Amino acid sequence: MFKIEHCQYKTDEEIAVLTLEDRNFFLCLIKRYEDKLLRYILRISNFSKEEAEDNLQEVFIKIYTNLNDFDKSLKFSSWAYRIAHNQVVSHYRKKQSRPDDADLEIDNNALNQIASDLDIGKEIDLEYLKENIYKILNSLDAKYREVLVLKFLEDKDYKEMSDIIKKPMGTVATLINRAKQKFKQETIEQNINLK
Amino acid sequence: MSKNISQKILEKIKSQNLEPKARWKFTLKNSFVWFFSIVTLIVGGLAFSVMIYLLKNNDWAFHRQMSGSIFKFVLVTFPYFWILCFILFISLALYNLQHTKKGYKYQIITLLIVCFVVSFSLGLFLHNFRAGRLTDDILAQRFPHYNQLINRRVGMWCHPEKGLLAGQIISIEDDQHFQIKDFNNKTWQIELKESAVNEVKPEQGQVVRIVGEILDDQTFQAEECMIGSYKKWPKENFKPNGFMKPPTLPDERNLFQMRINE
Repeated sequence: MFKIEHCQYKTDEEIAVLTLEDRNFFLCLIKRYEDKLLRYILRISNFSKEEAEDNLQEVFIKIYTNLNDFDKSLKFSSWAYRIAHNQVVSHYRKKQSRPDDADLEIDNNALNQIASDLDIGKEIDLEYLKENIYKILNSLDAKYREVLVLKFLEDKDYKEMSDIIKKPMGTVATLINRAKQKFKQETIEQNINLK
Repeated sequence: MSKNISQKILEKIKSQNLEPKARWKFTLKNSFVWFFSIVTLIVGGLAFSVMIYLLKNNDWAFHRQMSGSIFKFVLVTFPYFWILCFILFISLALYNLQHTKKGYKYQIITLLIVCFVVSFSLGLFLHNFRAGRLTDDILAQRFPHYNQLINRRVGMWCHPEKGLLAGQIISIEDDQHFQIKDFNNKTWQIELKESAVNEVKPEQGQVVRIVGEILDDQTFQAEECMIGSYKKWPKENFKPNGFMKPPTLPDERNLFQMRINE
């Protein structure tokens, strides 16, 4: 009988290799990534929670069927996020507005980092930003929203972001800079009082 | 939620009997992308080598006789088709390289520079081995409209009334007099002017380009004569206006004659 403890001390990459020999190991990968990927899908898309879960299933099926295509020079997480990203991109236009049932928590560390990176750390009311952040993010272009989500909410570095969205690191840096400007601009346009 | 999703996924994998796709399928796919990248770079290089060949052998010295002005000459003889080919295949190579497994890591400008440098180098290399000339010759022989539409300079040499004549030497009387058959199968008696005599040594079978004037219906006086650049001109295919005839097959009588001769 397979137990989840079998892969307790193994890396994602090792589990991916083991899954090719025994598909039961895939359960470990699912357990490790289902929450992260579901949250990521909800953050970058306008899917309802139900739709996001359906897409998450597809993501895991794709991860499983494409395991032999996993490039070991990447982090497994980058590869999994890339598949989730592609899944969202291919289904993105189905929905135009975010339904209310998406319950997305943001921790205060991420909020502080956003405030500090946008140079509004001293002035911002974090609670206010917490309540409005998705409203602001949703008003941005998908490409800007995605890099901001990856950097501030998923805590990915440039290399990982480059591997996930399949763009050169220089382009990622440019996108982040533009995204920050757009985010700041949007907060002003939406008349959010930061003081 | 968590339990449901993992269960659903595992059930789906089991019920649909899903398996990871074989590694060779991905290897094959990646190899195809690399293969097409390399092929498009080679074809881009070949297009560049034809461009070099055409520009280098563009009869620049005769631009006045051929077109009146250098501007018009460049406008008419510039290898647009090959430039377009070059751009097209560079673009395809760029697209293919971007879609290799690690292509996304590089900026488009970097990949574009790589494509240009590789195609330029390859073009120069192929040009040294006369690949450009060979390609031009083969296309001219295989495709009737090639010289009419793409390498229009060739047709310009079929205008004796404008002082431009080309053809193959069929007999030689002396250093100053020889006969050629032009590309419309008309025989011309060529008289070399004194100034041109020392410049050329005509030999039977050579293809010559001559600048001069018509003296009478069968005689052409050559002021300048060049030998040798168009050894593989498609001799059968020129019309008097420089346009090409469609390829023709031997008629039945000729075929019958050929059989008797066999």
